[in-house]
Amino acid sequence: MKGQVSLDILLALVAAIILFGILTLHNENLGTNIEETNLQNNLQTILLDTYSAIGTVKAYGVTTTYISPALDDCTVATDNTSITVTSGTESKVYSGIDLSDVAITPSGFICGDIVNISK
Amino acid sequence: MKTQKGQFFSIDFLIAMAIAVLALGMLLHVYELNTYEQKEARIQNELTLIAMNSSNILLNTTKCEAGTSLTDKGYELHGCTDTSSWSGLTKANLMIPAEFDCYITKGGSVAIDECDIDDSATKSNIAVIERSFLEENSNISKSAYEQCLDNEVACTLYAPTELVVKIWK
Repeated sequence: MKGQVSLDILLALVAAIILFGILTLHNENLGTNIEETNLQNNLQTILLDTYSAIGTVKAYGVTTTYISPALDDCTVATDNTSITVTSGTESKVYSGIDLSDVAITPSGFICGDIVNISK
Repeated sequence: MKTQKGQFFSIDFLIAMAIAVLALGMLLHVYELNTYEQKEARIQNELTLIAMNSSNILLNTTKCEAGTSLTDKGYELHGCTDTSSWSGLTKANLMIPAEFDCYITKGGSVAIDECDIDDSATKSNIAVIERSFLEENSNISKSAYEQCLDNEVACTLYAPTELVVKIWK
């Protein structure tokens, strides 16, 4: 039966296509997860950095010019009790902290901008 | 000898597949382990930063007050803290976010009312900062300070004390 496409090859092709489909789906999910995790990590880093800068001013009573790490489409908002870092629908918050004795100018800013922090 | 035409799987192929699956499994395991370690390190760093920050705020809330005989001569008292105002401080004052728990002691006794219960035993990530400082609640005069420096009398101006800040989530 020369010239005939063997059943082995057909089955191997079907198996390969199925496997490829599963791998592609898995890859897409993995890509989305990595993107979300990266964004969360970046927001957390900016939140910690801002928190640390404000904490230093509050502890030592110094005045400082602060530049947060830059990130696209990212803003930092502060008020008397919280620090919030937002990008798109994701955000990271430290709430229940007393910042009433610290002046942050401006209180809301874009990640990467220069702000003044004083006590 | 009978040939095996049309045979579905060869033993070589099966072995190759087994090795490939094993290698893939090991790779995934290493990846998972790495991701877990990174996550743990991030949490630990966050806790340590908050603990360090709150201990800084505590130790700098009220510095020891030097008498005019000392300040007139340009002396400054570093590493000495007046702890009399600590009882009025809250978690918020120490910049410990609401979602974190704390246990803060000074010389073994609870120092902050809101951080008086240590139930961190079951938590996997805890940050503990221990800091030594000098505690004094009254003005320090130049003569008393110099007596301490010269070891003329047993120095009772200040007492070395241990501050322990424990933070967990």
